[in-house]
Amino acid sequence: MHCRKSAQHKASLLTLIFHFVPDPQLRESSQYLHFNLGGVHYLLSSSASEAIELRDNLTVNTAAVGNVGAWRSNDDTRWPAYCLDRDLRVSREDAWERAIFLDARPNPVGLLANQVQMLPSGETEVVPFTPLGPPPTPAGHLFTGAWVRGPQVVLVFDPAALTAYLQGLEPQPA
Amino acid sequence: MSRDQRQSVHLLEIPTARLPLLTPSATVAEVVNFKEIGPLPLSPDWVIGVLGWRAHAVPVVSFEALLAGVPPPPGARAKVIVFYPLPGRAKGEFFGILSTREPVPRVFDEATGLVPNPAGPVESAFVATTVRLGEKTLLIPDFEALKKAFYP
Repeated sequence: MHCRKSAQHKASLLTLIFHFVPDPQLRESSQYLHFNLGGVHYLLSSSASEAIELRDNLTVNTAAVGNVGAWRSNDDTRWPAYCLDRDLRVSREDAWERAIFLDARPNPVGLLANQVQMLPSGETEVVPFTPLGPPPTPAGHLFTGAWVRGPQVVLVFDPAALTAYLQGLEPQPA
Repeated sequence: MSRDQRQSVHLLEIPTARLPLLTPSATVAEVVNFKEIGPLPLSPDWVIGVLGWRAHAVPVVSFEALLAGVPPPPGARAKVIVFYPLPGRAKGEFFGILSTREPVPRVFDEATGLVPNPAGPVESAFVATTVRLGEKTLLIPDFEALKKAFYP
């Protein structure tokens, strides 16, 4: 119980620190958020994150239908967040603890993950990477970089493409 | 003309689950064991995954899947043939093709019995030509067509 509280406290501090840096340009672009989706590790530039929210602050979608895993309520708007499996397909897996929200219009859109770790500048060395085949989103390929650790590769999301992909999961107005 | 004076070309025969490929050795950077291939989500079926190699992330392709749409499962002796970036591409854009086992180096010259396949070419946009060497039929990949598929 104490550990959980402590972890929550640290995560809340992380979110607060993020919001205290007013200009995204001032955030270290070489810092990355490290998380895994369905057991596959990924990186996302920390400057792409609008907020990291704890599960307790989200409304879980308990309906059997729909792609949205949870929402963050913000005044009269709701920010949707999605749980993705290792193939980046929508999953209704419930083993997640946080949502990483990306800046998007009209509302931020989020990704549900279990552990989210901030990797400081210098701990990662990201090289350019071009996936093969047609880009899966209107904003291009989902990955534009990779952190190579021997034979293992941690792919780095392109924030604009990830945002476009998540927005494409949203229910379209009839 | 003596054998030494004949022009020769060094090629690599790459075994696949279908017909072997034949490519200039100079296009190949290295042959590595097939292990720890990571997933590359939302890729075409012919992309098997991504491999870390010499600080590069190398996407790995099944040529069989390019021909027939379904990648065969890699066997215990499978290798990844790491190719240099295609002409006009960035210097870090290596790519890999899955091989069922260790490729075989070949030296061809005018005396080598390499002829167009009498049964005709294998019909695929990714095959430049089909050749016959003794009892063996080999495919020469069309790298220009691969480039169009890889980087549309």
